[in-house]
Amino acid sequence: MEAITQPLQLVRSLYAARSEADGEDYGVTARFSALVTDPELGPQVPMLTEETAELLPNQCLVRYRGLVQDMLNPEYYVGEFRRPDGTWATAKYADQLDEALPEAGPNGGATRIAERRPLLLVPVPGESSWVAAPRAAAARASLAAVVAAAGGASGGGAAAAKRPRDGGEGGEGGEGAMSVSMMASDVTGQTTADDGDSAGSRARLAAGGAAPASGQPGEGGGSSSASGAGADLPPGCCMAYVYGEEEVKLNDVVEVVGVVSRVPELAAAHMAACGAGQESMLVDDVLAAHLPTSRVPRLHAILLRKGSDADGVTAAAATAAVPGLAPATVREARARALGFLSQVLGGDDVAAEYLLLQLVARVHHRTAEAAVGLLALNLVAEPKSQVAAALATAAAAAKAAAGAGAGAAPAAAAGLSGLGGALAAALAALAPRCVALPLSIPGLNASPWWPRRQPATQRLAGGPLQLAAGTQLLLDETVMASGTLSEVGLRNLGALQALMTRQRVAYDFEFFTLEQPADAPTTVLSLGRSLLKDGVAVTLPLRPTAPLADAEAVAAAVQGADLAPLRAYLAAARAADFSIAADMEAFLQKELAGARQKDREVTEVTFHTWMNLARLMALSHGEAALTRERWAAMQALESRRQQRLAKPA
Amino acid sequence: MSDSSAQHGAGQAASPAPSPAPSAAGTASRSQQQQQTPGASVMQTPGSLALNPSQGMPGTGMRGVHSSQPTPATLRRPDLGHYVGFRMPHTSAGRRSSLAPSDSVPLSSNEMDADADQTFIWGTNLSVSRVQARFNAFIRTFKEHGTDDDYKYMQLLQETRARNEISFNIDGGHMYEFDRTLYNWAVTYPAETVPIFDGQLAAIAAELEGRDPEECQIQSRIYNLRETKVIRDLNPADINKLISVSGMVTRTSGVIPDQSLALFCCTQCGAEEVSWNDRGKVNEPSKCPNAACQAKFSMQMVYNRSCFLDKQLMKMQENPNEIPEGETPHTVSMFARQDLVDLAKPGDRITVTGVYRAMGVRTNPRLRELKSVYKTYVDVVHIQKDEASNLFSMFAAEESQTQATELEQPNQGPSQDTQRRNRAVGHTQEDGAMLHTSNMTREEMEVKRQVFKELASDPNIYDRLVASIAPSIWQLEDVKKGVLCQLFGGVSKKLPCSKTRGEINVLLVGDPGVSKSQLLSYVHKLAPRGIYTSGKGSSAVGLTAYVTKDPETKEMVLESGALVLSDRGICCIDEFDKMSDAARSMLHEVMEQQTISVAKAGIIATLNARTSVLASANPVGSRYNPQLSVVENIQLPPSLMSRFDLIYLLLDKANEATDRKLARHLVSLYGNGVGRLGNEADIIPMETLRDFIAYSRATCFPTLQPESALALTQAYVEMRSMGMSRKIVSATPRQLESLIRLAEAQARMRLSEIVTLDDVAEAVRLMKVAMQQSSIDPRTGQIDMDLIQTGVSASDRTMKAQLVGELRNMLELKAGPTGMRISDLLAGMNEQSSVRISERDLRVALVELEEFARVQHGVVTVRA
Repeated sequence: MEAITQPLQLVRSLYAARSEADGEDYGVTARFSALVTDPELGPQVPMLTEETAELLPNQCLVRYRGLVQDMLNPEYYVGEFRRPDGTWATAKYADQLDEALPEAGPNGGATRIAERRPLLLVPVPGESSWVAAPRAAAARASLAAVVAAAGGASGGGAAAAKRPRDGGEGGEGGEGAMSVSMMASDVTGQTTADDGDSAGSRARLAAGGAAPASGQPGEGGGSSSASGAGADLPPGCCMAYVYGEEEVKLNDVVEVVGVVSRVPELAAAHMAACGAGQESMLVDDVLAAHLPTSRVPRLHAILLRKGSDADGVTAAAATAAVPGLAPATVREARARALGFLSQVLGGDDVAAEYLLLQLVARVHHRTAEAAVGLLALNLVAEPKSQVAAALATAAAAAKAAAGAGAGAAPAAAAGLSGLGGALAAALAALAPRCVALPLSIPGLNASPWWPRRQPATQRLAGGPLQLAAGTQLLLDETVMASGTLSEVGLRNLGALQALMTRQRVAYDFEFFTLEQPADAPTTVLSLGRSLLKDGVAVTLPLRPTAPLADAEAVAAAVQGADLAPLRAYLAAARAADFSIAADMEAFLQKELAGARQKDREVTEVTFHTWMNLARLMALSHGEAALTRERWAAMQALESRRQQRLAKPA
Repeated sequence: MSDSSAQHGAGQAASPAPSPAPSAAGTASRSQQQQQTPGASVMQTPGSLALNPSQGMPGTGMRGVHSSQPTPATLRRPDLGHYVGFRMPHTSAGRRSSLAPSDSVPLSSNEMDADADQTFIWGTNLSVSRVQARFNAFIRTFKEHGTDDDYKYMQLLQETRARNEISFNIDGGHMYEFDRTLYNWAVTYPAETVPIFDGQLAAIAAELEGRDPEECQIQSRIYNLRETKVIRDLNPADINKLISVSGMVTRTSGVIPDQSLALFCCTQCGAEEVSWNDRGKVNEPSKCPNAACQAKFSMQMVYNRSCFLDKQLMKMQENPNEIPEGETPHTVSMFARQDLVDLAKPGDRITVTGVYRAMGVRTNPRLRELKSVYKTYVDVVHIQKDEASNLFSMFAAEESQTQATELEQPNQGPSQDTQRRNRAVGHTQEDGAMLHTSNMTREEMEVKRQVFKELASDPNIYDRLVASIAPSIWQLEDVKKGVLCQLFGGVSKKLPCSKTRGEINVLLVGDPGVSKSQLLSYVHKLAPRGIYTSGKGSSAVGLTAYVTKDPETKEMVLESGALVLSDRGICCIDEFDKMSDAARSMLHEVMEQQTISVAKAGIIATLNARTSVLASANPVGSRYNPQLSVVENIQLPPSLMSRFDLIYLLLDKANEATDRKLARHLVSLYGNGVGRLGNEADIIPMETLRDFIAYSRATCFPTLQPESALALTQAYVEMRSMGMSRKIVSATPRQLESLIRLAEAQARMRLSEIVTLDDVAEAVRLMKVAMQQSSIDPRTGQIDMDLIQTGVSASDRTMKAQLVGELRNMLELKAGPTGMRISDLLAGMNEQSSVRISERDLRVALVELEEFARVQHGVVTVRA
């Protein structure tokens, strides 16, 4: 427990006990790895989330999980220094030194400069509530224990000055934590009480969580005036410092265990920088990495792990599911998933089948021009059909509701149509991450969607297209109306197109752009063929036989069903590798060439689509190799799609 | 040596000596000159400190500064290294110590050795005199490898002095070659050694000119270090070392006046005191130095007698090609001073040599001890701009430069002196002429150029290029060749009264599913500034787009302007036939005049649109009807058609072999991730191909030789006469222009400056192939340019005349007062005629007979 509440003390004692051979890491990693994996203590390490950020004691050990949004310039800091008595001390994993850096003297004053890498971590965009909720619950539970312990423990070192206040807060915070931890069990029980829109629920929690935090005088004073700094960042982000050589890439989902640190003075520093004018250009990148901690807490990473449960299935379920999903289980799960999706789509089995394929898609590998392994799907609500009519009325209703200002459905608030909201909810219920973006003229023109580095802040402004790998992207084009697209809007469309066709997003770094790989299966919902038709590989008109679901209905359905096996099945299917046997290759070659002989409309593009679909079809059946049976199934599915496409002509 | 030095000596004598800043006080102006090395910093040389006053150095102010800042004895280290901390002040304003006034420095190393043990560079066992001696030797005796020339740097020094310049560039490679120890010293202790270099240069210059070294201020700027780092490779070990980093300037601040010296004046008695900028601070004396006055807090700074230096803060970002995948670019801050200010602009790619510094940052302005974080920056010693903003413009710029120098050469006269001087300047100066922004270093450019040359000299280059274009599309060899010609383009010519375009326009007409769109999108990716647009809903101008609902399909359609955006590029227009007439009429101007006129608010602006058009169109009725002529199939205005140099007809002929090949490729692509196209060896990677095309377009301007011109004429005459014999016009002057362009494009593929006979032959062949496919008269099988030019073929015209005559006869014979129904008339005509006459033909003929007959409700009556 001491290691959790006073991790720096442990680090320093390890440093003091180091031997020459130890080098940079004097057993810190090993010691803390043991702690985290310890069945007893591990779960007690509190989780840093938006709500717990204000309640956690300063300089305690926390966990954090997030997306690497930006990697800032490496920072040089005093790694070690010599005290006047001639002993060396470490300043690793801390923002402030407990003791004043000694002035030059006969023994002390010497310092060693070391390097650390700041990473800007943000909560994983579009993370589904079924992934986030258990974490939030765990965070609340762990908080209770730590705050109590910290409140009871006697302070030491630099924290001493802060202790009394922390202690006082600990009491009240502890009480609060107790009550939330009781609530937490509720949340886990009914997983998705309000999960239609997890962002909304987070916002509410944030509003609630902010109340006890207002009693932080140091930051409270500065935060109002320095609110400009970091205002563009999403709530719940944090600045993590990496000390080791761990390889981290942009858009990785990482889990960090480290020492949380609050430096109230930073807000004041930002305020001072605002007035400094030109000279501040020198330190602006330092400031970029030192945002006011009221908004962006600082985390000194001791352990860093790449998203182990990136697919969001809880660890236990994943390990059980991945190696050998029994064929019967797969069959059952697949049928259930299809049923669920078909229910959402008003009984349209074909569309449900295609949507299921979207859910198991990921980038398998890349060629120079394209990414192999996923397809952009365009679900078309045909004009004049009843679907369109339903959408139109729904949109009108939503608009009216929004205009009335009260009782607007969450989907309408997010700018999605009724069906869009329902689809988003359904995808979110099955996939670990799902981002739904309404495509409308004002939305597209409003701001750049592609990530870009802002000269003013020296940080990357994420934009909706900075996504973690494996995020389902839903574009709702049904809300589009006539109007003029500005240059920004056009570039947004271009970026979407590039994402759909090549799975790459160009990041704008002022004087050049860098293309970063993405992995986001995209589904477009539109009236008539999509504006992005050049990026769409599969266009499918919807033919519902029953009324379409709306977001509330989907949420209700999700709540009523046990979707865990479905999620496990989809995660396993997504992760599986794939190959084509030699004899199958020969068969396919004959098939393709034959198809072209028969129908000259069949082109290379069609071949690509077929190969992708066949691959996904096999994967969705839990098979790692393509069989003739799946090929035939794909062909049957495609012919049903072609029939639909042909009808109106 | 004697030759040039005499001349320079004369020039130097004529030029005025560097004059001190007029407004500054005497001490101030001298110290300003001494302040000039940005990298300069405190050089602690206790020995020389004791030495200076004894030699009667003027300037008590300076001595005062020294004495006010004693060197802590504890910070002197007998060993190298092991020193981290605040050795360096964070601004350059730390002064160069005056320990090495050149008149006190013996120029021979023997004498130097005498007091070698007295003067050490602070914190090292490096003696000042040894540095001086070695540097002296380097400057005085260095000769470039393999040349038996003058002493390079002696000559350069004279030239620098003659030009009255301060910067003296020293190639780090030369220093390394000459004396590795000296080089290592310079890299390891730049703050200490560089000022020594400056002093030595001044001393040498003074000796040559017989002046006081104080008047010969020279700043040594070392560049071209052995290792040029990437920003992300900088690490704490580099602090206070001389480093070289490359990157792209992203921001520059305004010029900041940086106070180097402040003159304080006592308000009571008028006594003056000079205070130096010490690590970013100027200490205001609290007490009057005048022993008689001693007034407290009476000193006031006199601004116009103080010294200020130009300073500029720059930010540099990593070059895109130096960033590993999945990382963001790092940045580094830099301080440029004096003549380096404003040398680089945002967007420039530069290589900087400078001293890497770390400065403690107080995260809290109120608490002093929070200096645990450092801000790093580079004190710039040398800036080298080495690239163009892109390959295209870089090569173009270089080409024009070489042309310029070629032009200059004869004017300047072949004096040996000029040449030598040019060479010296080229080697050692910053290549000042290359002031354009750039994208690539010189070496990279050179490597690329070699690659291109090699490519171009490959005898199979033509075939390889063809194979590299859209490798997943088989067949269509000739179409690809045509597209290739378009990519390379002809040379635009400016005649006294007009100019002709060099851009080649290509039209592809064909059945759906014959990879037209694929070819287009491939070209779009390959072409510089390619724009891809769908004919449906594209307007010619405008940067914004409009989203509308197609009234027919209820689909949302994007209308965007494309042509202006693709100036000097290729505009790929898919579904050309579906383009609106208004937009298409714009193309008339674009495709021949290469401009576009926009009328807005009463102002007509003519914008350049030097674009090639690659268009694809579906035949009328989606599928090519072999019964109809090409023009009838395409249904484009002939005036527009004639502006296309090449028109290809792509008819889908299923070919099982290529289908199989494609299938195999795709299956393997999805199976194990590696596609098998079967001809990889010959394929030039897309990136290389793109650069090759850009390079060729920018640098290669082939000209027609007399014999190839003759061949062209012959071919043209042949093409014309081929038609003449059968009374058909088969080629027009537009085709001759096209032939020239195609031939030039052929030469460009080989980077050849000469259009050869083979080029002409291939151009003619391409033209014939394209014409055969597009201009075959379906009835006669002959090439008939008339089809393109007017939409009616010659045989058509004869037949039409015949038809009208026959029709008239028939109407005269058979149509009574009640007239004849058209269907009867058609049946009657077809009975007579050998060829089938369509109702359409008949109606056209009837229109011609309007004066004679009248058509009403499907009944033809003969007018009275």
